[in-house]
Amino acid sequence: MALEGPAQTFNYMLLGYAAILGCIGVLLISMIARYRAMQRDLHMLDELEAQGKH
Amino acid sequence: MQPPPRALKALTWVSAGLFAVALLMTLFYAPREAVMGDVQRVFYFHVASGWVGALAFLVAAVAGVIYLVRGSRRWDAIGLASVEIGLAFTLANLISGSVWARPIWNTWWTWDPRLVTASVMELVYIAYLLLRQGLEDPDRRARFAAVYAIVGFLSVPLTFLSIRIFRTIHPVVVGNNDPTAQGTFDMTPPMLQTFLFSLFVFTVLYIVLLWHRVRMQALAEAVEQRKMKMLSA
Repeated sequence: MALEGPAQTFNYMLLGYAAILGCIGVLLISMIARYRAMQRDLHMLDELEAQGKH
Repeated sequence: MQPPPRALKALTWVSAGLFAVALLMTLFYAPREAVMGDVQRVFYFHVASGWVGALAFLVAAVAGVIYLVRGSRRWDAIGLASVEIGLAFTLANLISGSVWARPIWNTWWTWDPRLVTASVMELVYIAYLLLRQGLEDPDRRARFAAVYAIVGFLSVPLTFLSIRIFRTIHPVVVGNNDPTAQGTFDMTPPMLQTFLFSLFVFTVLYIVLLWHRVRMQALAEAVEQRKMKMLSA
């Protein structure tokens, strides 16, 4: 039986893009979350140092 | 931590813009493939993700060599940052390949040499992160990680060459005129342009991410040093 036009694979395309963008998104979110956690740590260290001086 | 340099800020916005253009090109400029239909559009980012994965692991191996020669912690940070980015992009490559395979090969997964070697490569670099977690002494950790990144890089050419060495159903994209290639993949000019542009955009994205991640690692080390200093005071 001959194929009539391309296969209907639009939903798989969406899923493929979601996978790729999802992986990149998770990497970005992880980097932002870790950066913010480090900023919090730095802020806390500053406060502790200031308390130590008083 | 000092604010990001202007060049990094500019490159970040440029990479975001380029990424949007590449996405639009894959969706609207590249034509729909005659047999596979829309799912073939995944190809552009699927291969670009695989390329970034391989590039990132190469950079980690080179950084490992330079660390062993010079002993500068900066190269250890570059190696770690590059492996993290490479893992994310290789995972994107593996999952998108699996999604593409479902309608075309009628299965999510098959024990094809390319799929197996790519998965092993991902596991090799997950083990790299685990190895680092298991070592307390920073110098020892950096030395072990450098050697591991160099040896682990063997998995990258093996993955690339697997479709030439073994019988496989995975198509050959780079160098498909090679008579030893098991499969072929023909592209129309708009497809080729979209493909090459996607490779370029993902490479720029990798550079931006690496730059940010290396800066983050410098901050992490500064925080750690301050903590140690406070504890010892």
